[in-house]
Amino acid sequence: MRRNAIIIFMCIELMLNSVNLLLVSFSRFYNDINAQLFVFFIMVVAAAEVAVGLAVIVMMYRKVHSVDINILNRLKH
Amino acid sequence: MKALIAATVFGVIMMFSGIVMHNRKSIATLAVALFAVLTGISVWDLISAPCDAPQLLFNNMLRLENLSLWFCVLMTAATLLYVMLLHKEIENVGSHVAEYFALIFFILTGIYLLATFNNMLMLFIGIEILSIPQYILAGSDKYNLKSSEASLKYFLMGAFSTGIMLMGITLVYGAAHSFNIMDFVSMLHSESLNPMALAGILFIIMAFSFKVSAAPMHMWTPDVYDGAPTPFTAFMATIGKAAAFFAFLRLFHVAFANLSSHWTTIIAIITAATLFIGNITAVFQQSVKRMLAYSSIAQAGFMLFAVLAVNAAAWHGIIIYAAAYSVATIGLFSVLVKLKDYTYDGFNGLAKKEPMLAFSAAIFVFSLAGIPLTGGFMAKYYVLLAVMQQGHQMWLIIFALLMAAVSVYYYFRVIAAMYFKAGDPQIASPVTLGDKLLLGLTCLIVLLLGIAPQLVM
Repeated sequence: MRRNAIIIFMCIELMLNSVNLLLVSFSRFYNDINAQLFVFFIMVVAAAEVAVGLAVIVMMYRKVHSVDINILNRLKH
Repeated sequence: MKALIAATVFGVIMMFSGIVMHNRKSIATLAVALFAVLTGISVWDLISAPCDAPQLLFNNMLRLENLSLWFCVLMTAATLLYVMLLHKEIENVGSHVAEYFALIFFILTGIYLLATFNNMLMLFIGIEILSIPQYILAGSDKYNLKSSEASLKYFLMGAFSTGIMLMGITLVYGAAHSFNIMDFVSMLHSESLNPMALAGILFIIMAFSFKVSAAPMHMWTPDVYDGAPTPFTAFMATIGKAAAFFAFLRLFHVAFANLSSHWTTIIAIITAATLFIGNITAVFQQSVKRMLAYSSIAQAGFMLFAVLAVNAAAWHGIIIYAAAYSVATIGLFSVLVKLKDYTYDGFNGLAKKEPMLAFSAAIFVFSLAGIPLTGGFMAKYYVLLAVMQQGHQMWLIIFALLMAAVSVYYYFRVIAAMYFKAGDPQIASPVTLGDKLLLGLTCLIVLLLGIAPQLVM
């Protein structure tokens, strides 16, 4: 099976977005602005993670010319 | 909380020093000096804190108790020790020496937040400030494929666990209507617990067991610790892990203490699985570096005992465990980096060639195995005592003692290789008088923790 690191990464971002949506709906439901503030922090941290994550993936790509994570089993022996 | 601001500023100073200074030696010297200053500042924080009531800072975002400030001091001092012991190896990892030290300063900022958070927002930010620099440090040896792989693996798994933790925080917020951990105590009641809060707590346990590499989520640990450059493995396995544990304890013993009947069973199962997997798999390793990765899983099992016991003794337990484990492991890693060959055979005959290295490695191994008169024994004693005072889960204590006996086998293989086998170990970098003095000091700290553990409590 082909597993693309960038697709996995995108799915993780989707997880974060689902949390954001849940927070916004709680915020509306309880009339509490704190949850919306939390959403901004999640966005900022997600951006920082993207910066590091894409850099790591690029670093990997330069060496093996692939972003398939199945190549990553070199460490397992 | 002057140390929090100082750590950030020092991190930025380190980054700029990379532009101004070109000599690796002087960058490292600057870093050591700044870490020493930071240790001083965090001691100053502790002394100037009022002894009776906890202080609330930044709009109730942080709550400073003496215990958390003391933990900050210990972690900063451990980092100072780490940098002094390993700065030569850090200099040789890659070409961006100043940035490595800057990242370690930023990790310390995260640790301060984790030790003092009073709001789930600060917990989240703290965990991220702790983790993101670690992803970079794991991949800092850019020309080594194993290092890049370790970084990518750590990053993908770490980001995933962050998502799980956020979901947990959000669900708990949904039940408690607040992010303040003091409000959790008043809003969440054991008898009428919202299932949403229970699900949230479960998610948070899962995410934390990833960060501390406890059993169901430990898979990344050996690969990442093995692939990352050795000096940074030493940091991630000790100070990073201890800080995550302190945050774990702080959240569960402050916010979820009166819900303990709901989560202690889960933690007990995780503890048993962690002890079993960590110790049994470590037995079969051929490389000491990989053995230390599994042993760090095993030690995490013991630290989980402090989470299991919801009482005051657990706090003392985690503090002494964090101190004893960090110092001994940093010491052992600083011996390991002096060798070229990381397998057990690489240690053959070390006692003849470098008696001081061998002797101090023996002391650190004794401490990790939990032999009396070393810090490791007292640490294990205090965490088990905390669970004992709780009165239940006696089976787990007996199991832990059995597993500690297993751990003696793989730890003592190192001693057997150094003292009883003949060989000519390859030394990677010359051992100077300064190294020997520092190793001696580290041994002294380990022994002192074993003789007078009340010093750190």
